[in-house]
Amino acid sequence: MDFRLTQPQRDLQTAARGLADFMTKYELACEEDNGLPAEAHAEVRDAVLAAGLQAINMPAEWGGAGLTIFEQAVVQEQLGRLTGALWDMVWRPANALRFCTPEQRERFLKPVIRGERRDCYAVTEPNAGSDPQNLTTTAAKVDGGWSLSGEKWFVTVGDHADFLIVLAAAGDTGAPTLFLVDKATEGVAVKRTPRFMHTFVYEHPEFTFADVFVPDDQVLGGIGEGYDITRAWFTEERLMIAARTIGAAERALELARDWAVEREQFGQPIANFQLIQGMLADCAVDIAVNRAYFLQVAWEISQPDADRKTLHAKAAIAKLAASEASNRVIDRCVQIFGGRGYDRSYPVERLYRELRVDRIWEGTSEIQRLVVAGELIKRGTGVLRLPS
Amino acid sequence: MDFRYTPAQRDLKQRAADYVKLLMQYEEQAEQARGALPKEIVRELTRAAMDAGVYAINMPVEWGGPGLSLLEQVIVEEEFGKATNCLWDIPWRPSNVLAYGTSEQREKYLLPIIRGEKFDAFAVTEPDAGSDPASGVTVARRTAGGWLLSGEKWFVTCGDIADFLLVQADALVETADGSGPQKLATLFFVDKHAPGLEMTRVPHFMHHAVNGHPEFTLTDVFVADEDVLGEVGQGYELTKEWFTDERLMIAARTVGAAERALQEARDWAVERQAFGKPIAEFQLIQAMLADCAVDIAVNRAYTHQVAWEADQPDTDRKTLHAKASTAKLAASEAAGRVADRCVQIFGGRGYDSAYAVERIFRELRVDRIWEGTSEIQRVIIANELVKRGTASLAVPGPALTHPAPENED
Repeated sequence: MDFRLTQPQRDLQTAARGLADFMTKYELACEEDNGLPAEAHAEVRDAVLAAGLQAINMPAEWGGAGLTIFEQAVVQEQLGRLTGALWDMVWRPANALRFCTPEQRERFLKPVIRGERRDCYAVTEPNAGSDPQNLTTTAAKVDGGWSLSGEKWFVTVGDHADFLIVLAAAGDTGAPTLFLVDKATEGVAVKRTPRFMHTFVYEHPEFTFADVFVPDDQVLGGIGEGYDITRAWFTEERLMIAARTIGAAERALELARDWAVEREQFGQPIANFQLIQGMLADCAVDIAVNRAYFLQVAWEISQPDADRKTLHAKAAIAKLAASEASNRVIDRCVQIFGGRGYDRSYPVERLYRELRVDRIWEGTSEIQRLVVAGELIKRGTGVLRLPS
Repeated sequence: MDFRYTPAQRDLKQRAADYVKLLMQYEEQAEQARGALPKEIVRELTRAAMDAGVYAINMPVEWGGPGLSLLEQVIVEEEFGKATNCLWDIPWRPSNVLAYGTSEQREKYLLPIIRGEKFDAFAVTEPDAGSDPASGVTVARRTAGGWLLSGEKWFVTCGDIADFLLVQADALVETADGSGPQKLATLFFVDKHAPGLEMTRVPHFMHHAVNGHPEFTLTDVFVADEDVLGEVGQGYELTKEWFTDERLMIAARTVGAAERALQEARDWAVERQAFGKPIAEFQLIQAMLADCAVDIAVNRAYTHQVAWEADQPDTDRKTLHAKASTAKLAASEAAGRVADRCVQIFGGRGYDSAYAVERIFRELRVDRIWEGTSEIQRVIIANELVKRGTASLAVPGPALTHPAPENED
């Protein structure tokens, strides 16, 4: 065993922290204006490229940073400190795009890696989400391609994206399949752009598809491969949520600790009061144990001989544990800040609203529990063992 | 980073696990006897622990122990923790501070313990002192050739079977300026048969542990100068070092106990039928199982991390004290939650002391109390945060042998 970051990993962490610190200057504007102007996007894009943190999940040969899952988690933890979900401006193309044909790669993936275009993933529907088997978005075979019809919810970055990766039931058998759909295609419409609890730099609009023609060469990864590709994406994405929520929780604790040391009541810093100390300590516990675990799982996933099934459950444990823990942390930190913790110009207020969705997206906490319990029931408690 | 056990560590874990299976055969007998086991059985289990290389694991090879690192001790103690009735006390763990004894003290006190011939017990807590050891009223007055100890000690774990006690007392030392005696916390070796030492009460606790936690009174107990451990005035420092190790081991044992509880609850849920199907098929049961997995997985990772850090020579000791508190607080509270859910999954059988989950539920409760309550751990952690910020939460960095970047300001 060795619990140290290596020097290159530490350097990567420092670079990610530097980028996050640079980006904090956009946080308030994003909160106040519900988004950022084009020039801010351009500045961040340049900073991401300068830091070498573009498309960290894509191989260097295609222009990405080519990081391992472990290294990605190290980076995401630092970016998770940002409010307004500004971490999402440090683009990570959907892993599904790895399944692009060489032609699709040139047209769809590489411009995303370069930061010139954006992708978004359209999976959830009015009656399908965690249960993707109930898909009602269909793709009917037509001459030279497919005709897509249906509705998709919570299409994160859908406002900013140039194309969508749409999961639909293809053909008579309803084979779950991914399609690359240009947003400008006829029949693609934004139905609604909901206002959410958080003030995310991008939106999560709802889309409708009305007989949208998609040519055969825009099927991604083959007919019927849609679930398997999406599932692999969930494993990694859940781990990245674990990493980001711990980064966010740590920033909140740093701020709450500083506040408690400086803020005076009854003639002394509130940090002197044990009820405040108890909250600070419980935050430290939530952060420390979850950091150790998400790093462990990220390390395990990065090993060539990793057992994928068990890792799916471990990623679910990491996501469930870290997102719930970070919500406890931020609740306490708001409490320590008192009225100022309720003020949107303070990061703890924004993190409080923003972290709430981490218990919902990429599978709710309840879905993670079902995944974990399924693993325990099928294969016993071996999932809890440390690797050897 | 590398989260793998080495082959040697994996073998060690297996040896500990095999030994614990042997201990488990005596759980029911211990439970029915309110904890204690016949001496001959204890001797047999002691020999078995020595054969397995898991006796006195914190003591170096040169003195007859297996000489395990703290990480290796955590690996072993995690398995130990799966045994109920504190049977893990049979593979004796001498107080780590005994290593600071003189060579004469080592021959007289420590080596017989490592050989399984004698037993020690640590006496710190008092009616009005425990987590706050500075208010201790057990005092040591100077007398010819030694000290006279007077006071009262509570919760002296294993004090019933111990041959001697390590007693923390305030040595009263006259100051040169005549401003009255100075109180210097000091550790003393006190033989169980020393005149004036009396075991006044052996309370019955919630758990039925193999060894008791009796109370003692000391009335002018004579302790010779050569039976002072370390220096006069070094008592807190040594006690604190003992706490760091013990808190880490509590974290390890509670994770192990929680894992056993979950294994049993999972098997029960898969086998027990209600409404025509295994209760494992109900989502409310599944959620309890999953929440247990979360509590175990994250605490296992962190406990190993802190033990590994404790073994590194360049680790900052102050931060480590806070990290051991974090591990102990986190793991003991988590294990308490796990045991509660597992009792719930077992239903009425979870309330039946013939079932391990019932015993684990009672036994884990004390891990949130002893070696510093959860509240004391929180105070220690908060002090670290207030004094030095959140740096104690960072994972360790590269080895110091790596050249530092140039021009780093």
